[in-house]
Amino acid sequence: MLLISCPWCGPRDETEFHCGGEAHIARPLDPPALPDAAWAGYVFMRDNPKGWMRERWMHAQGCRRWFNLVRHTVTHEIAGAYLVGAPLPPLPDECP
Amino acid sequence: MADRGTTILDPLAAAIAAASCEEARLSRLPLVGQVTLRAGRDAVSLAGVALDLALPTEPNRVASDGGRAAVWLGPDEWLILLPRGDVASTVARLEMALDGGHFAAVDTSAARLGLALSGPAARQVLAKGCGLDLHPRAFAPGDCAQTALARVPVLLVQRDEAPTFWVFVRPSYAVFLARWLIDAIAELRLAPIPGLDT
Repeated sequence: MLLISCPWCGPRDETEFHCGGEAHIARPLDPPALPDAAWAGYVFMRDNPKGWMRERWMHAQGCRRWFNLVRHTVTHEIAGAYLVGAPLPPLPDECP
Repeated sequence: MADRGTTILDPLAAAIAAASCEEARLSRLPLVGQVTLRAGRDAVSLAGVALDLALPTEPNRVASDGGRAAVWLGPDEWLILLPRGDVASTVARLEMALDGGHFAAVDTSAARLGLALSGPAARQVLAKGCGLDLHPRAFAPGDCAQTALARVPVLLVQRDEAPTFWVFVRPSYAVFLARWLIDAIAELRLAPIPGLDT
């Protein structure tokens, strides 16, 4: 089980959380003007990196707030959590 | 006489009373009025003045004054526990104080039932079904947490160093959780086995 640190509540069991998938996907500003392929890309296409990933998580059985988490998809190592709207922290394998 | 009302836990009253022992005492909390307040940070001080009770801004903390408590549920969400008779007037006071702002003050008194668990083994009992670190260095009187106990979402509040915990649970889960707690306490009532228990 992962021990995830909610930015508000601190370390909690993974079972208290809901994972919302890849973070920082911006909704297109004018959906009706969008070609189908671009809309499909927004709705369905996600990165699937083998390595560090920024994900959205929600503390479902706690404060019920969404936040972002930097997690390694192979080792499950968690590099940190940050609030929605906060500046993007560099991934651990990126040069800051 | 505490207001016990009629709740889904009534049929378990005798079992709950019989479960308690020296190490861990389980009881039903009297029915308490509950007001859920959603409001932005700019409204915290206004609401505090209207309530005459400062809302905690530090996560997972409780502010109390005698018969009332303000429980942190989220960065813009609080639960105010107060006598049932004061709910309507409190909601009205909040609505007047925060008028024009973006907020909600709602009577949610029927949303949760309270159980109290206290005694030297209370932490041990909760630890059977709760992943939270309840050690005194991590969880102290005045702390609260929304978490899972026996897989049931609960609101846990530590009241004193006995320790006494309040466990608030959705009424539909209350019977299950009360039965689970009765079962979790049961082993504490066993007589020690000479030679095995020291």
